[in-house]
Amino acid sequence: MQTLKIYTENKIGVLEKVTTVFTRNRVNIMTLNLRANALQELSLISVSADISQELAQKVIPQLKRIIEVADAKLKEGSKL
Amino acid sequence: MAVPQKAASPTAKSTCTGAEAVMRSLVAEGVETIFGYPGGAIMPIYDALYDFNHKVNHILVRHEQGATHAAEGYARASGKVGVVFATSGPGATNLITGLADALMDSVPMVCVVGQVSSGLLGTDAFQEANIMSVCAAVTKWNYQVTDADEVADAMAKAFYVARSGKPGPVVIEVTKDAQFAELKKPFRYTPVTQLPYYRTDSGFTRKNLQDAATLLNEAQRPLILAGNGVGIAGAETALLQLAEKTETPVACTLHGLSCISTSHTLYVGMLGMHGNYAPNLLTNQADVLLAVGMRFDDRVTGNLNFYAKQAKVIHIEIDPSELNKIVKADVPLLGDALAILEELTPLLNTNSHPMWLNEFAKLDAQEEEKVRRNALYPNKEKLTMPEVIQVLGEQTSGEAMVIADVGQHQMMAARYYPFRKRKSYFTSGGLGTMGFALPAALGAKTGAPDREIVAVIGDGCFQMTIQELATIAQYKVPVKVMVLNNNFLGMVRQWQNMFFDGRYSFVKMENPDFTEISKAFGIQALRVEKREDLPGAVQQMLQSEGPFLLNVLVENEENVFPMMPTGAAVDGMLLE
Repeated sequence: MQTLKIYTENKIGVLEKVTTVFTRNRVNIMTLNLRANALQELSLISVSADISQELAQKVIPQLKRIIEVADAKLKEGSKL
Repeated sequence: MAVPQKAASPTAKSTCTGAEAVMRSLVAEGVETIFGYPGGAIMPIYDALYDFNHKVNHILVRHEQGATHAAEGYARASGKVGVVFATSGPGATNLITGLADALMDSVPMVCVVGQVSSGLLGTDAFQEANIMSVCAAVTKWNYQVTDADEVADAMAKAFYVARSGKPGPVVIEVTKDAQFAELKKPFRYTPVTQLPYYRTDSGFTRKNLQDAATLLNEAQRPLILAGNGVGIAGAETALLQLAEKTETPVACTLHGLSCISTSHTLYVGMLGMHGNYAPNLLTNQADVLLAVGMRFDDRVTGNLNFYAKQAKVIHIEIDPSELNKIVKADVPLLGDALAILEELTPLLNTNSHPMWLNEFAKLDAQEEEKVRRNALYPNKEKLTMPEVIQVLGEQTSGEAMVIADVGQHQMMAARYYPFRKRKSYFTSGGLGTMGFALPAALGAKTGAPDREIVAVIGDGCFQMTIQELATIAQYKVPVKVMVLNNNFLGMVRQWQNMFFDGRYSFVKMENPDFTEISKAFGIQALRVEKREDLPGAVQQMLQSEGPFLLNVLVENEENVFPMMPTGAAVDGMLLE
């Protein structure tokens, strides 16, 4: 199980754009948590999924391609 | 009936509605042409358009899908952003194919669509569809505006996102109440040049460049793979300079075609499933591949397990998600192709590769003998597609812009048209959208009125967007439409012929008389069937002043060769 941390603008519809990337790469999400920061400008979306190293390397750049995504990375401690 | 005249120009008014803000934003962006179709939820914007009609040319298409392909053709031919208007619900859902097409082929497009009033969102209101969700998967960016004061910023961001980095389609949805509402603040349009989290910076370093230069300087068998990004970046000359300095052969992807003249000694042909024999086979002999603005599409690579395993790969690419997605890059160069090529070439040594080039020539001679000679000079009574394309090429001196649809005719046009000018072959490459070419040709002619535009269309494709003949006729857009009519869905038939034991399952078409249909739309048309009549017919088409349709009856069961069957490697190409 890996956890991806995705930092996004806190806007309507962004979560859907993020999950679309998992859907098209056939990644089944096991847990998903979204939390806006204190100023509500950015959200941190944490996604846990059973995802191979190869696929994670494909998914992360596709997440970063979303205009509202500030960053996407594997959570420290997640092993690749 | 007299058309009522509005009293004042909206720009002179101190107030401004959301709808007017859309139009003023478009004018501020320098938009000259819109392809669109009105409806209930976009009526305030169309009402504002009424006052801007002298500044912006609106073309009323006959189906919203046609608007998207016309905008694509316009964008690719002009280098500007294509703009589309459509209403909510079915108007917006009809855009989906064109949006997906533009996303796959990196075409800059901004679609402004209406939406029901914000108070009705989520109520299954008349002509409400959840376009935010639907478009998320087929756009580079989409956004819903519910506040008139947001219009200008959303539009500015839309144009920036559409044209920057790897270009793509954007949808801006404006609710009807936001279109009607007066802005609370004065209208102010500030073009966007950067966004907080969206990066279009180059990611290459001096070390990357030097590594690439070292590989190329030491290469014995280098090969350039030129893709869509070459034309988008305007890097044709820079690529040619690199190729000539290092005497490196250039192969083009489908979208890379025409970035180099097909008569150039370093041009070695088209890559991919129905490309040329030599560049496909020799991809697996090259020691260094310089991939420029191409994304190793499966139609180019064939079986990846056997693709260029021997080669070092230098990949010039503007989209970080494309690097290492399919083929691992030994040297990734992230950024604009023009900027990178201009920095790379000075680091390269003047070189020559006569033996390597000779290998291309030898394989090309095999293709000439086994494929092209028979295709171009057939012993058949009926015309073949290649000989039709050859006549077109001769009569246009290879200088037309060819807009091809999807199927056998697309491959034949790509293979046999002698491209002499840049930006001369546009087609739906990634999504493979049948019906693309007719509206795209109308858009291309609008965007590049000085170019000769010839749409090459199959009989199946033609009937998917045939209604755009009415648009072409209404606006007297002088495009030439060449239907290669074999009464079959030719490419599907070819596959059934070769890989499904000849079991022809629903590929035979009993077509209407396209010549008469065209005339009924008010477009001159001619049917041609005999070889001796072909040159005269093509000449008549090209010399006609307005739009013209040439219905060319071709061999019913002709197959496109060479061919890389599914699962085969690039060096497993079949010549027959």
